[in-house]
Amino acid sequence: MLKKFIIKRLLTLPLILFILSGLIFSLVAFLSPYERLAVFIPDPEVYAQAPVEELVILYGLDEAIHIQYLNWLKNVFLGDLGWSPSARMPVSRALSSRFPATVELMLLGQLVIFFGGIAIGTYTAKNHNKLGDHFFRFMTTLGIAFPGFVVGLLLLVIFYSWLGWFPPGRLSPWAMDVVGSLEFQRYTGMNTLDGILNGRFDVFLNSLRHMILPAFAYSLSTLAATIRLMRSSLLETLRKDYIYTARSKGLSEKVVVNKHARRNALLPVITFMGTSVPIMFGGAVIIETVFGYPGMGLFIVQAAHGLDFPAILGSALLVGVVIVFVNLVVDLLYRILDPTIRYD
Amino acid sequence: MRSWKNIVLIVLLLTLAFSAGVQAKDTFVKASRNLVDTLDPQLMVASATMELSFNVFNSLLIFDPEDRDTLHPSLSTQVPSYDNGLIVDTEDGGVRIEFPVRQGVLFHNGSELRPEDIEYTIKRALLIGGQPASIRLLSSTLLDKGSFQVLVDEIGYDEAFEVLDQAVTVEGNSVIFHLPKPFVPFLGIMADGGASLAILNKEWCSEVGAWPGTKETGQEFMGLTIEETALHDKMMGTGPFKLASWEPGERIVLERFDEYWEGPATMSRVIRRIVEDTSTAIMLLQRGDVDWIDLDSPADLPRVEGSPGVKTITDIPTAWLMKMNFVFDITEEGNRNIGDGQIGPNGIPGDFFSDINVRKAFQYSFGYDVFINDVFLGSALKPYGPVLIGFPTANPDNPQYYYDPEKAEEHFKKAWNGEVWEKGFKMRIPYSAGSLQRQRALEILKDNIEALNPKFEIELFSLPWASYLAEITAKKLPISLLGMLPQVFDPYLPLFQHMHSSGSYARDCGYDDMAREKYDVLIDELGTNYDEERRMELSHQLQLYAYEDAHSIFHFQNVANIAIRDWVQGYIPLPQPFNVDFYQIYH
Amino acid sequence: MVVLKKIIKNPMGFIGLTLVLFWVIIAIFAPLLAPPGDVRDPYMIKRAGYSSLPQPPSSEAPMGLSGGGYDIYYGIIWGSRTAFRIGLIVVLISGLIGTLVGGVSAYIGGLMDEIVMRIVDLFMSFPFLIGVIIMTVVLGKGLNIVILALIIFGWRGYARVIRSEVLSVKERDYVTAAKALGLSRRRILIKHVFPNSIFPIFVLASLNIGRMVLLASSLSFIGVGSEPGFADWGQMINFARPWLTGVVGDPFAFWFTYLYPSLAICSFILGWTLLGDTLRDVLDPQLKGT
Repeated sequence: MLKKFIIKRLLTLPLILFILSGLIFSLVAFLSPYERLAVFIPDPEVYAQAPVEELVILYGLDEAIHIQYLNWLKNVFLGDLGWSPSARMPVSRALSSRFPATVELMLLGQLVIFFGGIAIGTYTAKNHNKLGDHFFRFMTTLGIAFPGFVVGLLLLVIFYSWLGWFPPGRLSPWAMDVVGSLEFQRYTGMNTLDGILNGRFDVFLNSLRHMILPAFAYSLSTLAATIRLMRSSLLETLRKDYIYTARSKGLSEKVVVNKHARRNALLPVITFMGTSVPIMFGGAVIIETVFGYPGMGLFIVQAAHGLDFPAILGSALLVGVVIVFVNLVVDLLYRILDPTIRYD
Repeated sequence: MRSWKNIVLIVLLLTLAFSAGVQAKDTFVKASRNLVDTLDPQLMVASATMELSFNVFNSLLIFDPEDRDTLHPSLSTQVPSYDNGLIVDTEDGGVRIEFPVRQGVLFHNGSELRPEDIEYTIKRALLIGGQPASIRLLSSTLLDKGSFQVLVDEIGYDEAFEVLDQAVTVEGNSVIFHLPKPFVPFLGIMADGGASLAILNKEWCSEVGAWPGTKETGQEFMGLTIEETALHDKMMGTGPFKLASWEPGERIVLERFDEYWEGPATMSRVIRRIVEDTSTAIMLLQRGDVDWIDLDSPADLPRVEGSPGVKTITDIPTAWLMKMNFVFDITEEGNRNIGDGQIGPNGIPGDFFSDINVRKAFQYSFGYDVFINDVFLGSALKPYGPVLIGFPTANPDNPQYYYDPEKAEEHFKKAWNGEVWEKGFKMRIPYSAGSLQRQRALEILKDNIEALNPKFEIELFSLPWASYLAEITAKKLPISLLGMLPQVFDPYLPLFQHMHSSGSYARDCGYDDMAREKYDVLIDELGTNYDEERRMELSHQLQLYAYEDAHSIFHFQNVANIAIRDWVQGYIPLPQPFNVDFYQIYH
Repeated sequence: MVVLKKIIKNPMGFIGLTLVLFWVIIAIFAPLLAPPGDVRDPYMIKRAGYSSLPQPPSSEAPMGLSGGGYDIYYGIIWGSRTAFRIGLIVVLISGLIGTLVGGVSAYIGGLMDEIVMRIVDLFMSFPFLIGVIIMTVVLGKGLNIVILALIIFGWRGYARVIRSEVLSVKERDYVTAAKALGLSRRRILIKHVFPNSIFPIFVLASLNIGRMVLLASSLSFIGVGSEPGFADWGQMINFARPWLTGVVGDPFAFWFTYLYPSLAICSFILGWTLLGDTLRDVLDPQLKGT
């Protein structure tokens, strides 16, 4: 049963990607070749000297859309995602350096959200309407209420400018030299993992040091939201019939909460965390800008501003794959947490 | 549960303890927002990237840092002139310019510079259709056509290649250029220090997959794009620094070349890292993790001034002029910016700005002082006209426009036989989103004009860069805010751009007929006549025409401010001061 | 109303209601509190000069001027209208769409559910920022585009949340009982399924009303938000970005540029969140009795 479900879900993936890429590409129809030229003319001062018409022809910007799309599609099947004019390198190369950077950050962030959110959410639900609850409720509202760059800059000021603990960027210069050298093997593109796999614990630590602030700033609002959602979900579950049953059976409060209630309360929380993944891809750009951490966020925004379709399509495909997987994982977790849920 | 928390705590502490890296004293770190577009100097268009080619390559000549009018030999042993016989007029009206090549100059890979390398470099630049402005100029000069592609379209590849072949030749130890007619800025183009006229090594280029230099292979390399060029991610020149590594989007590292022909540099390593956010860059500078930051806005100065260990250098003149260009023949079809296309409360006609009185009225309506003092906090210069301040023949006494609401009103009343004043007008002008200087300039213009007559309405709105570009190209803007960034230190360039019928502005703004009538002749002479007095005359006359015909409002010439660590010595401003000559930097 | 009374009785709810009402009043009386003068569009923040440096509060500008001469007080007052506009419109419409689509599809299940969820996946996979940026190029900039974009990319969140609830509620005893009794699908949906699965939606909605203002602010950050100079708290925070670190020796020199918009955003979000929480607390025991 389970296998079938997973396979069925995975089979929909190519269809989704196909529709997605088609939809995105069709946007080209709304754009004039001059708008698409913008990525080749980086700033207005260069424009005055640029031979606009020549460039349009050179880059094939006035060819028929379906031809452009078919060409792109053909190349994708051959494994070539094309060239990104905004990143000045092949799309696949750009993605292979930017994507792991964001994944690393997101993983760390999700860890913080998961453990922190559930722990604190449970605590506030258990201490419903007492001081601890009110304190965290207030803090979480603050946490959601601040724009990302404000939090980011404040954190940088305190932890970098004043204390010098956590610098911006992905790695310190000496670590970058190590990672860029020939001896260092890039297995995953994630500096933390690669550091460990290469036996360079110092690179791992350095990478972590640079990731702590951005991961925290990045997850703050989702963390706050998760705490509140966990709280309300748990409170609700605790009032349900089967909980009264468990309590009346004489089970201790701890077991009631941890074993029975929490599992069911986790459902909307897991959903929410699942939906937060694509949103976090978006919020990433602000954090990446402030912390000088080049990841998917910046890449996508730069590609979009430049109407760089190969890069946009490449990113969309990649993100699409990630999201289908995340949704799959979320749905699987439902089944584990609540066996009564059935899929026809 | 306890043990988890302990582990996390320990790891956190370790990250702090372990990872402090010490900055070496002979490393220079620069923070920049500008991405490197490519490492191929002949396809590089962003002036920020030219900083790299400047330091990694050399060109035949070099300008004197204190006095840019004066040229010095670099890879050539002499500066050609009529006096030393290296410039000679030929019988067919052309000019022959000879550059004796310096001996004993080494490339980063150890091979020695030969005249063939220079010949190859120039031919490649022309063949592939090099993008930088100076190469395009060189192209039109040497080939007498806009570009090699145009020549090929006209006379076929074989013939065209012959022309190319004859344009640059090697004789003994010299490289000879055969110009079909004199071109005064030619030496200036050759003196950019390697920014665009970077001398490449022919063999190495061939080895890494660039054009081998033969006629048979030439056609494949025409119309080369960044995507296709083999030199996109490699640089190998004769300059004081060589490329160590490049992580696109993150940083680029240069290392000292110990066998540099002028002697090794002081700095052993230069790192240019990308930092998007100014606040972050300032923090990095204050902590000493970065030694240099550009301050985009003068309002950033108070944020750094006074930081311990930091010093600022302000008011450095740049070669960037901004102007507000009136479009004389605005596209009328489907153009919301001009409303109903009639003079009246709902629009303007497409040829609104073709009336000199409208233009003069606008000129007198702009608040030049307010703009420079309030928006730039005094940190900008009011231009004299199309020839940039600091360029030869720039005329400080050229008549200029100032904010004068009375004169503005006068001219508005005369405009279009009084119709404008009576009926009023409405236009929409976009600016590129995020460009504060454009936004403010238009806001000032709008406020001043609307204050003159309640029937005048100017609506401003922002557009993403891609849309702004499309609208400019489609000529839908009533006023475009584009400037000039001349790469060569000669009045010919800005005057050509601004006022020649083949220059971009006359065409794009619709005054090319006027140009053909009045300016072309003068500008052409400016380009071909070496006589300095005559050039001054011509230049001054053209600057006067720019005033009288009022095609554009010259609202500011940019001035640069930088903030650096106080140990940094030896900085000498380049024409684009954000670009640094790393060779000069020492502790 | 009974519900209202209950909200007021709850201390958190009382605070929340007060805050929201505070801003409602400000929004309604904006033209009186901050007269726009003879400017054509009152939503464009009043300017006093063009100075690139922010000016501290004075008698003419009680909250000071931001970089570019924008009157902060004016922006805060009129920005309240913008905040309500964005928050309410987006949440209402996207919430409705998401709840209907997600809820009905989850209940019906089967192939239709699969297809619909794949479509939701599609919308989710479409990167928000790319979509918004391209929308601005094609359709232009401005507040309406921001609202449209937030709706298009926002409804899916509600769909997913309601889905998980409905899937679980669907198997509950009272639903099986109702089915056995022969009640129509529609009736079961409306009377039993929705009321028991709607709570997370309320919480989400109340959170989101405030959050929309922040999302609009991130859009301003990347350059696709409302028109520069528009009275929008998110944009005003963005104006303050260069001034967050102050000057050397006085890190809070430009406190007024970010403190006021931050307070406005915070109090607005706090109000809605508290209100939403209390609403849920109040409604829950009522419906449990069904």
